[in-house]
Amino acid sequence: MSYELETDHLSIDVAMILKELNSTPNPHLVTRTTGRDVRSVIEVRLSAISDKVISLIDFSDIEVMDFSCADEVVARLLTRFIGSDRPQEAFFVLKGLVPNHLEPVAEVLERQGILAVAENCSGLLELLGNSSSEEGKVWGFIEEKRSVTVDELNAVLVEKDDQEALKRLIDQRVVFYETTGNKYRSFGSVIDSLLE
Amino acid sequence: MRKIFLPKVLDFQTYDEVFSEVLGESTEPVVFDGMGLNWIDPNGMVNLLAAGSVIRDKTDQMPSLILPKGEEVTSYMERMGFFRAAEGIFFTGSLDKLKQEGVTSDVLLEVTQIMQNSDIHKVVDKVQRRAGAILTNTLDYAPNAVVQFSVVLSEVCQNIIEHAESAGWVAAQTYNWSHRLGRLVVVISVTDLGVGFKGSLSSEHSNKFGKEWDDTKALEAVFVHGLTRFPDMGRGQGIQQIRKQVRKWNGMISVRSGTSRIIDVPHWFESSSLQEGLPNFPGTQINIVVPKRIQHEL
Repeated sequence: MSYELETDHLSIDVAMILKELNSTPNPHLVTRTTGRDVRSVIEVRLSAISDKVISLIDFSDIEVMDFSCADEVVARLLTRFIGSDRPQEAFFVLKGLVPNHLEPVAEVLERQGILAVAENCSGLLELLGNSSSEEGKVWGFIEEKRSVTVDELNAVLVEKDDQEALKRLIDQRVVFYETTGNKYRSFGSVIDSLLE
Repeated sequence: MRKIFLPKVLDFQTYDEVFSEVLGESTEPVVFDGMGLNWIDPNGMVNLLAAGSVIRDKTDQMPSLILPKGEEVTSYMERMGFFRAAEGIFFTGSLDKLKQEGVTSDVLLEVTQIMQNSDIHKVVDKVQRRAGAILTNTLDYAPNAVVQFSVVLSEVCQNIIEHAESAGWVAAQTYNWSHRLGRLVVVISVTDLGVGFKGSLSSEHSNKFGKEWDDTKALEAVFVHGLTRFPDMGRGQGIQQIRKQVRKWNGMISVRSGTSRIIDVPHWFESSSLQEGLPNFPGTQINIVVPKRIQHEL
């Protein structure tokens, strides 16, 4: 998969969407119906951008998040944009997740078998979902280097499991292969380039 | 006029007695006699509403309710919002003075009807505001337990909307279970008169079981295996996540549907994990009991 740095970014305040949607506004991302409605709004906003888009989904003002809602707003949304039949090129960063959100988010990602990237309270990116130790290692390595050539990476990833881990990370769109320069780009470097 | 006597204690272990009488063939008017009632918990209240609804629908008239002799029980039912919820179910002409608005501070969640999505949002918001102090100061849980508690409530209430295709009720309260456990507990009770687990799953899963398909198999399918009638991945997590959280709290969860009940039995409670051949309950009941936290148990 190739990736070019011609991208828009879209900030999504989930609590604000809830406020607009809910007849009795409160900061709780609960029930599958609500989750479906929120996801729908996000998808409409994404579809209004014709180019590639990085979407920063901000959960900062969400008090309660249940599993059904996490499944709709996080897992199903991301799943739709990971597969080869995705409606557009969109990449997601989850922001403002507190420990009470992380449990349902991790659970639904695991159940759907996908990975996601979150920005923690220190501003650092973290990999969420059920990743193997090899995937964690490879992702961490590329994030730290930000950009590595294929040859550099091959020199480090000598185990067969490492190569498989790299393939999954690319499939999950949390590491990017850039045809120009024949190198891998970290998720963080792509975001930073965009926000410059 | 048929009389159905309420037991002295109406909780999740005794409402089956009431239902065995409710389900009779008779269509004559009914009076629920609660004169001897001296203890009722959230399970008792939401299932008394369910019993009254079944009688109302069967006889085409609202049953009457004779109030307990003890003013303490009536006053407690009033504080729990029972009489407001009973409007349209029981003949409440004599209960008007009890249908007061407002809730006193000792109520965790009064009897609340769940009919639509927004009802769950209201329940979660109410509990977020009220439960913090009870869970941390009274039951010694960590401050974030209130969010987990809200998530549990949200998921159990969604069971009504997503699977029952009918309205239901939820209530929660804290008690001192001195006789049974020697400590405080939180009781959450949810009940509906919908299609039940067997009804909800039949179209999707009954063929796999053939003649063995019954209430117990349906309960096990949902409770143990996380199956739902929805074919898409990601569904069926609700009950599984509730069980996981209740286990972390060293609590008990039981689900009753049709003629069977399945229970996650903690060490402090004596019961078989599966009860069959119970009076047919036309819907689903979920009962959760969470005990006060004790350090050495965690």
